[in-house]
Amino acid sequence: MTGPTGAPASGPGSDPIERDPLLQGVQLRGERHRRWLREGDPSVARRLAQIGVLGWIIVVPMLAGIFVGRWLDQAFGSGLFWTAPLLMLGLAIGGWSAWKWMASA
Amino acid sequence: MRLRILTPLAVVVDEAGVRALRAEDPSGGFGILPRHAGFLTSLAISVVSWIGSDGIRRYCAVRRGVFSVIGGQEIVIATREAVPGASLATLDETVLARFRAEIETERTVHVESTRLHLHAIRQIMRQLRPAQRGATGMLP
Repeated sequence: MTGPTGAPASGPGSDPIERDPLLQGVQLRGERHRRWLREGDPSVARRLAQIGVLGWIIVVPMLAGIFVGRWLDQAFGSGLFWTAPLLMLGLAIGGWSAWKWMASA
Repeated sequence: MRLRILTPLAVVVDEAGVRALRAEDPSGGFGILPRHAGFLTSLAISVVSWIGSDGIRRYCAVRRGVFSVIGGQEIVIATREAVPGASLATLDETVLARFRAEIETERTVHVESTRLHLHAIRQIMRQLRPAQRGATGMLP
């Protein structure tokens, strides 16, 4: 089946080999190794930056919630009626997006 | 430690004096040093690497397999397919070249066996024809 079509052109014949899981696993590890050779171990600053991003992801929606809440409260003159729920909502959104971010990283 | 990597067809690696070894099973990577406790696991499709007695790291790609540490001094990996290589960066090319060579061999063997079959059939025909002429009534 692959003999007559795969023999003259190397493209179609070589495709099933390149999809082989063993080869893909080796390529993945080889690529990681080459990247490690190029970049070395990730530096402390980079790790801190990663952790910092996680912190900001949680804090920024909370700050936004407080800001919008204060603005609404000032507009309606309603004390803490809007600030507290929006702060909680910001915390929830921040926690949820941090969770998503951790799962993807 | 003594390391042996076995496939059904060959002993791919048989090396004494291994100082350390790394391998991967479905739960992740792990390392083995001499005098490790007895250990048995099934490997993932991965790359096994070890440091030989000369301090040089060597690699071998394995297609799954059973990994066992026996008595803290012997490691045996029984796998379906193993491709050794000197460098992780070029191991993928080694594997690819090996696959290509195997397919080429298979093709050649296929052609040869087809040729053999045709030859045998031709031979049988040649042997039967005079008999057919001689005793036509006996064959059917």
